[in-house]
Order: sequence, then structure tokens, then C-alpha cells
Amino acid sequence: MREIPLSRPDLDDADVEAVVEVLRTPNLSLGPTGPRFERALADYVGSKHAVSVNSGTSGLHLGVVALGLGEGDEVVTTPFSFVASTNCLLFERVRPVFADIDPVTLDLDPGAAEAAITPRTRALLPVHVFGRPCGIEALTSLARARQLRVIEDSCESLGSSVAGRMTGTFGDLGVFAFYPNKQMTTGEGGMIVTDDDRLAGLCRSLRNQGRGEGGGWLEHERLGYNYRLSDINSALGLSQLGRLEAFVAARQRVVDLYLDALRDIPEVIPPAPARQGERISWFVFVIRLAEGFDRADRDAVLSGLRARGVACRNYFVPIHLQPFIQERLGTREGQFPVTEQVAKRAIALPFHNHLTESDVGQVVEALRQSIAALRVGRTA
Amino acid sequence: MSAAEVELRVRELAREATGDGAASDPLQGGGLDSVAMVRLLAGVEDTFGITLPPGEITAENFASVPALTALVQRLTG
Repeated sequence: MREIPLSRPDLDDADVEAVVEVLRTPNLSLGPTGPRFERALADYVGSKHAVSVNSGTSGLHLGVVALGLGEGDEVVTTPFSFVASTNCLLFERVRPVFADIDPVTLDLDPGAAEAAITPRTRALLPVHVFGRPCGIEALTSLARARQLRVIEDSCESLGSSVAGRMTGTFGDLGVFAFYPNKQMTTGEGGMIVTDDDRLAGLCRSLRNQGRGEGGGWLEHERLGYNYRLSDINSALGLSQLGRLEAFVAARQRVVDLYLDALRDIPEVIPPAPARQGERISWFVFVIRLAEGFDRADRDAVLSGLRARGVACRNYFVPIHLQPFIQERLGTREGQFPVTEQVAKRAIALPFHNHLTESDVGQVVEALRQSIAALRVGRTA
Repeated sequence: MSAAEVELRVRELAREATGDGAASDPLQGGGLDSVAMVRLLAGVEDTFGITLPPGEITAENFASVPALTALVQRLTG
């Protein structure tokens, strides 16, 4: 039985050579490759500035610090995301206020976000979940009307766009991430993008131990962090970025294979197609079991897939139900019903650029078997 | 493997999957929920080296130990 991994980076000889080239120089960090990667990414998404960091989480954290958010402030965000989108607020003692998600985009519902705004709200933090653009235009309009800042968590959506404008460029700042399961990778890494000169300068200082631009190595203007991305990682990023459009196309091909193969399984809800004017740069391929199935059924399907060599995962566990969040914020089951309904029936299937038709066939056949087993189990 | 050996092994797998070690036919006891069913399916495939086509994964074929034994024999025969 072939084992099919959940994800796999797309690396070629040019990537290896780019990294080795840096290794042959003394400039492993703070050299010329970092700024080249930043400029190339800024140009790709159409932003004035790009500031590289060592992870998407670091980028989100710096975004919170750069916007001056702190204790006593609230930020409205989604409970259906990787936990970093909430942790970046907790790092600065900012209170995350969750609002339920749109059942189609699976991100912050603009109406729910508006209802969650209080006099203490200072910003919105939407996430383009799984690569699908969220209702970013409605959310940025809401933010403007209520004088709120927007941190656009685009860690999963590099290459996605709305009406020709790249995700990450709608908010005061946007953040991308380059973990190896992402559309492109730097091993570990992230990037903050913004058109705001002051925010960009602040983020550059904050990621570099609070040093000022042009200041000495031992001169620190503010409390900062070592969130720098090395030139080694940047070289990989620069090389990968050159092939990003091909990656986006390859991932769309895999999505199309899945959608075709899943058509006649009524128990499976595939991801919704892009809306008019949107381009989805797919991060993961997440299906849902139809209504009526529960968490135990989902877990049974996960077991069934794994038993047949198919890696899979329950994306996501809602953030408000993570034990430490419940303890800190007093959140509980039942507060965000759309999120909970989606999360308990969601399954991420294997997804990467090189999945073949045969691989997808194996995954879907295993899914078919598991669903057939569910039917029998439910009628017993 | 003889028919009796297949049935014995199927019965053991059904008991493991349902957690009902006492029933003579655990598949008739109503303990075959979705989790148990997936476990049983994987156990049958592993033990007998077969892949059950989705069309064969039916309530009838999993209704009793003899029914599942017959299915296994048909697919291995």
C-alpha cells in the first residue's frame, strides 16, 4: 500500500543551488539576499514594503506590536483558524474577541464581526482560511467605518486575490507564512507586507532586537525580538517565489482532480468554488462530512483513511475550545455554532503539487470505503 | 484457511471492534457503531489481505459473523 503524505514541499535543484550559493558566502544572515527576497515578494503582491521574519506567527506578533495594541484592547477575530492568529494577541495581553464564521468562506462573518465590536475594540484580525479569500472588502469597509485597524492574516493565502488585488494588501498590514506545507516554503519563515512607511520601519526594528535603521549593533531603540529570517532561508524563498505561479496552477489541478472524483459521494461536502472575481491559491484541501454526521463519524473516517495509508487531519480544532483558551478567556462549547459544526465534520486530505490522478484515486477510494463503513455503522 | 478458521478469525475481529467479548455473534448485538465499523473493516482487510470494494460494504454483509465470513471467503476464494 502506498503511503500518501498530507503535504510535501516542492523543491528542485535550483532551490538547492540557491541555498548553497549563500552557504558559499560569509553572509548567512543580514546579507543581501534577505532584502532581495523582500523586494521580490513586495512586487509580487503589489505592496510598498515587505519585511521578512522567521515565521508567520512572528509576523502576526510584530503586527500587533507595531499597531500599538496592548492590555485593555480588544481585537475581533475568528475562532476557526490555526491558533497563532489568537496567540499573537495574547502575547501582548490583547483580548481576542471571537465572532462566528461565514459557512462558505469559513472565515470571520462580517455581520458577526460587527456585532462583536465594543468600545474597546481596536482592530479586526481576519484570516484567509485554507487559501480562500475571506470577505476582506466588507471587513475593511467595516474597519474604516468604525476606525479600526486591520491585521490581515494571509499566512495561508499567498497568491490568492480579490478583484485582481492580492490578499495581504487590504489591511494595514498583511502577513504571509512559509512553513513547508505552504504554497511556497523557506523552511520556516514569514513576511509582513504594508504600504505604511512607519509600520514597515517599526517592524524592521522590532524583528532585529529593536535596533534602529543605521544604528549600531549594540544600540537598541525599543524592546525588540530576534525574528530575523536568515539569508539561507531567504535564498530558498527567492527561488521558490519564482515558481509560485506554477505552484498555484499545480495545486488548482489537484483541486480539480479531487472535485471530479468526489462528485458522486453525497456524504461529502467539497470546498466551495471561488466567488466571482476571486482567485484561490489553495493551501489545503478540506472536505466536510454532510450534516447529520458527528465528530465520532469524522474520527472514524480519519481512522479509516489512515488505515489505508492516507494521511489526513481534522482541520481545525476551534480556538475557543482549546483548553488553555477556555481557561484564559472563559470560552465554552456552543458559543460559535457555525465554527463548531464545520470543525467537527472537517477533514484535510493529502494535498501538494505532485499528487497524481492515481494518488487522488487512492485517497477517494479510501474515503468511499470509510463512508460506506459509516453507513453500515449508522444503520446497525 | 478453512471456512471454520475464517469464521473464527472474523468472530475475534468483531469482538475486538465492538468490545463485546461475550457475544457469540457481536455483529448482531447492535454494537457496530461507525467507529467500530471502521475498525472492523481495517481488521478484516489487514488479516485477510483483501480490499473490500465500497459496494460490498453493506449492512447485509456485516449483519452477522456468518455473513461477513461468506464475504471474506468470496473475496479470497
